[in-house]
Amino acid sequence: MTYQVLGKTGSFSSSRPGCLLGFALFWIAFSSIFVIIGLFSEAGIVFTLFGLGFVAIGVALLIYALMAYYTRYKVGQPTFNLSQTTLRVGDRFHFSVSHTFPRSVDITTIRTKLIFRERATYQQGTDTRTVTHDHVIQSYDEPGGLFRAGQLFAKAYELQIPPEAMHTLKVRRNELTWLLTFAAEIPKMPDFLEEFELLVLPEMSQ
Amino acid sequence: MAATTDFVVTLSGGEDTPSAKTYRPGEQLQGSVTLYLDQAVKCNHFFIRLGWHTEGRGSQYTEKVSELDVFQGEISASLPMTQNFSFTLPAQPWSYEGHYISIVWGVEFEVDVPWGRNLKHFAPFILSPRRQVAAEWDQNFR
Repeated sequence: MTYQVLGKTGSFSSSRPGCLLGFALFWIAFSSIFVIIGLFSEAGIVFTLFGLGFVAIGVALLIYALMAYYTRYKVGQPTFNLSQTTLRVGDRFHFSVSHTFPRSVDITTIRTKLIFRERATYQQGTDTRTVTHDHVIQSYDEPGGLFRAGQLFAKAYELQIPPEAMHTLKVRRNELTWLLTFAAEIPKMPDFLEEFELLVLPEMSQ
Repeated sequence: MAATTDFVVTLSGGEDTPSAKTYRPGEQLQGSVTLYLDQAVKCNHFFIRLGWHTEGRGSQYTEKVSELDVFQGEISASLPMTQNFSFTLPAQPWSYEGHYISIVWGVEFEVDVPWGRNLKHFAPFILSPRRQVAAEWDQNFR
């Protein structure tokens, strides 16, 4: 996925299904060991069924990851343009997306959101848990429909970090981040999702 | 037996807001603390610290920005001890109160008592820039 920052084209995405695919394959390989042990040892059918349960979870994850890849294949690679990714509180900026669909695809909604995210990590017993809360600051919905191969989609938005907002902060186990998300909802498939992180400095816009 | 302590803190300057005093980044924070004790206490150090910490769901993160060691010796019970302090506030992070995370600024007072429980007090304040929440924002983006 490409986007442009101050005239330079770059590549950034934090929402690719590759990690999930890799994890699913690792999960299946690891849990298959228990199935093999169950089949070729005296451990018995219970051990084999136990292993098969974990393999089934891995297969479900794998299918979801492949569906996410299929969504990306159907939608293609839009071009994103961000006027700036380093901002001050109160700053306005522009975001545009243009895309020629390579294949016909049915999309329910195309949604662009400016989000302020709180991400807190804590210890509960021996587990480490993370919770996130998204404050949706601005949201733009474009009507969906059937986009045919070769059809052009282009939109531009003006957004603003609110003057009363907080800046970006990342310290151990506590993160306050700004994100711009672009999502295309496709019926019965995982969403096509791109996230762009914005750095908001602890300075006020003049 | 542990001493009963009463810290009386006065922060000067800043702007009076409902929850606490508000200071601007880069501003000078001045104040005084008076310590009232019901018995004499030997004090290794009397620290006055400027710092901030997180509160909420995430594990607490604490950052000490500046520290003054203002006294060593015996603090008398009959005579309250007053110490003045002054800090230059940094540019960030700004105070924040959110859903899972809050950023809390304050001045911490700690009397380091040898072989005993330290005496502590925390005086919070707000660090926030001067905001000009334009009506234009409400019209255009809400």
